[in-house]
Amino acid sequence: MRILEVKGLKKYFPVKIGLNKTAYVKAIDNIDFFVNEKETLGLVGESGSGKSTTGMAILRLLEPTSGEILFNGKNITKIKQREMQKHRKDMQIVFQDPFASLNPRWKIGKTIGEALEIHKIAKGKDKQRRIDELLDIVGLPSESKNRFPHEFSGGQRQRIGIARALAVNPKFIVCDEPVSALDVSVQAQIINLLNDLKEEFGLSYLFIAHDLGVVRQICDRLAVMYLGKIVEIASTEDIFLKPKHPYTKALLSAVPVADPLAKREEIILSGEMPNPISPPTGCGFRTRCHMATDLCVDSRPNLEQIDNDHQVACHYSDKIGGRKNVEIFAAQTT
Amino acid sequence: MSKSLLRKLRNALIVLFGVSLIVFMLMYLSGDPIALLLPMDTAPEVAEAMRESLGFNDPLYIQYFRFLSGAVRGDFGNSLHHNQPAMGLIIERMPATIELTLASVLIALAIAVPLGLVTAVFSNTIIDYIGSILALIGQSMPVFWLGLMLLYVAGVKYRLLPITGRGTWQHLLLPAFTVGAYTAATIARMLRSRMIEIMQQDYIKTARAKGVRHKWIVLKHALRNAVLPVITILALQLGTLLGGAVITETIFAWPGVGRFMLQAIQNRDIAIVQAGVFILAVSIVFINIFTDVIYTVLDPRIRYE
Amino acid sequence: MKNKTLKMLIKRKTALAGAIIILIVVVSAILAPVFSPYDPNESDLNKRLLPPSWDDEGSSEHLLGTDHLGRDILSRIIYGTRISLLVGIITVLLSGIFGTVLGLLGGYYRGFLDSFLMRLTEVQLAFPFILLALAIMSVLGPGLRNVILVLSITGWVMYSRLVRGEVLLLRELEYVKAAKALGQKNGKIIFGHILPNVFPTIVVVGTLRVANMIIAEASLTFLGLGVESRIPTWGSMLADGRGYITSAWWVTAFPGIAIMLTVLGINLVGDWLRDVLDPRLKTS
Repeated sequence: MRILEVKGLKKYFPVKIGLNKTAYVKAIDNIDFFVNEKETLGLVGESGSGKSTTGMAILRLLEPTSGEILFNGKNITKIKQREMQKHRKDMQIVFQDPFASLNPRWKIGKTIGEALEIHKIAKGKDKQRRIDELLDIVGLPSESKNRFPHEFSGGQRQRIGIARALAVNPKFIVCDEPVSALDVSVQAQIINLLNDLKEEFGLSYLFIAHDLGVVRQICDRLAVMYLGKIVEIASTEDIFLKPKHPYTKALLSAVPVADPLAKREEIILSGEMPNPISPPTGCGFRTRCHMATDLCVDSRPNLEQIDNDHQVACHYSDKIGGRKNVEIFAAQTT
Repeated sequence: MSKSLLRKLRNALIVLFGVSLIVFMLMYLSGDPIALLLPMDTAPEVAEAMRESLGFNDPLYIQYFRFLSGAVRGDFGNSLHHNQPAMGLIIERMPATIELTLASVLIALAIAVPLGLVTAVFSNTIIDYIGSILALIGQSMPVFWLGLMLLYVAGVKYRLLPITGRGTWQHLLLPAFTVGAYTAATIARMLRSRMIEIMQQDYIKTARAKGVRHKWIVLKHALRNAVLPVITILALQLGTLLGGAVITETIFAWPGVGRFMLQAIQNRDIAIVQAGVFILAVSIVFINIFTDVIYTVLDPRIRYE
Repeated sequence: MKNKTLKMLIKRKTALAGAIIILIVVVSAILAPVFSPYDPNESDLNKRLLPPSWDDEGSSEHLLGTDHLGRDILSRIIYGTRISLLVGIITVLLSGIFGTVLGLLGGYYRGFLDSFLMRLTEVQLAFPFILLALAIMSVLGPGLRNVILVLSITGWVMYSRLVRGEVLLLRELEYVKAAKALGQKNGKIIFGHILPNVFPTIVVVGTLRVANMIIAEASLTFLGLGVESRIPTWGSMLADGRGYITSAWWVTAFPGIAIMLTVLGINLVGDWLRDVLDPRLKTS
């Protein structure tokens, strides 16, 4: 059963370039994916790839330009914001920056209580009990509710953000780079917490991240985004062991390995992502791809099925082998 | 750059449209425009005839377009008091106001730049405290009161300078100082805090560590970085300067637009008030565009935005 | 270290001085009948234009001298605090509330209201503030109520511009988005999450604007287009004194000093509030 399904989603931002001329930044350019119930789908890409925009658009925090978003089978793309409120209880978000995601002038209890009040989940004493319970679930003492955000560390604030999202008993949570602002040691704690919560409450996640190192520990499947498009989507294992897109391989090269002697192909990404106002013709990645040919300039590769649940958008995907990444995968799982 | 300039011109046109609307509405704020034009004891039949002949019985939008087409050609009707086109009377007096405003800008800079520099270089010494208090006082004085006091002290008590009229540069000194004092204080305070901020930045520290002499650093690096904010403040203060000029002109009998408009206000000579307000607003809009252009030329970073 | 504590102390001292000035002005306004030695409108034509008491020709009965109608200048200054404070506070409240609400709505919802507000702001910024106020007053006619009305109408844009700018930043913050994702109503987001975080800025600017409004009222009244002349105000005292500037400087000097000190006090407290509440405003 699919809890979320996205079909042909587009989000274009208008940019004025002259007196009466408007160009469009294609932040999300026609993407399709789905998330199964109790599954975690990772969405990976550099900043500017459109992954956070995707998260926002799914929750209708940004209005998509076109496409469909099906949540629990219901099309929520065009429904009125008022009707959307009913669904907000089922889908939540945890943000990247634990310093910006909590109102600095509100005590923690008020922030978590707000969620409970909006959906009339609990009042008065029940509300207080529920706040204590939520803080306990994320591993914080109940006294926390009487304190302000600045009294907490980054990791603790992220726990508070998670408690707020959990308050409405959601089924699905968008985790928008929830650990990228945290120290490595704290990252693992938050990842573990998210994994535990997933088991305990049967949650599904869309887990957004900018590198592959983090997502491996939490995601069942991965989608790699580049310049507003999904370039490869497969199970986590396949992405690590049999990547079929040069961009995915490049991202894998950047993942730190425990054993420095392990041999692997080094592909260093050179240059920067092109300006999305004027994307390259043909394949979006060709300007940074070591395998690019005239074909890549002339025609844009479509996302094609190459294996069970493995799709890739590259003209030369059959020439890419990935055996050498076994070490990375093995090193990380143990 | 030319594209952004075009966009600014278009925005300026929208703003001018709004300005014309406000100036047009001035007539109607009192309820009955005809009452503004005629003496109180006019017979009702005369007033009605006048209303009809001047077109005040037409729908408002027709009256507005009539006003706008006049305004575009610089025609705001005749002054009741002088019985001449209002626009011509205002234009005649513009040079005096421009002269006063420019002189006040120069005086403001001549005071503010040294004051800002000295208080920044000697920050937290007695020199800084005295300078900062002077600047604070300068910001707290009503313009017209400063004018009156200067007039008394420099003009009446010690007879140093002429107190009324326009002519020699001595005539210009008191009014220009009066108009520029507030701006001088504002710029000096801004310059001080900006300079102190800049002097704490790394590249200044680096230059200092390399053995560049302290005062040299201040003048060369820091001042260059403080020029843009000074231009911004000057542009923002332009309205204040012109407003100050209006009041100051009446005190020193300076024959400019401000004094003339105040007389017109007292005579309820609405055509002159409209023409004057319109001209000053148009000047401010264009000076702002001009400032933007200077800004773009001086700061290459802005061009790429 | 020592230098820093010294700096803090001086900073505090100036704020304290400002607060004391404001306190004196407020108490004078409330207790004017108690403090003023004479009725402010009581004239004695035998005692016209008496210099201040320390002058050789001054009288000990009139500390700051008398005006052209023989009225006691000190008493008139004390009563004058009432109008200055009244106009300053009411106009700031009216224009502040109006401008803040519009700025919140424009910045949050964007769209037509926002572009309309932006253009309106630019239009109003094209006029010298005092000139526009003068022009409107000349049509409406003098009077306390009209002064408050005109100063509020010409003053609100600056709050709406300021608040709008802040809201544009705040609405993109993650805690606002989190509230949205939870399904919080727009009204509650605006007044619960956004307003409290703009409020310090509004308080700082509002405080400093009280000073501007006091000067604006005095300017209008000085030019005969402000508060009715029968009410003792600093502006009308200056207008009276202007005619005698060559012979009796004190009639003009003292009300002006009263304005200057009041404005200075407000500016000192405002600067301190800014440093405490909203350090970002420092350079503007």
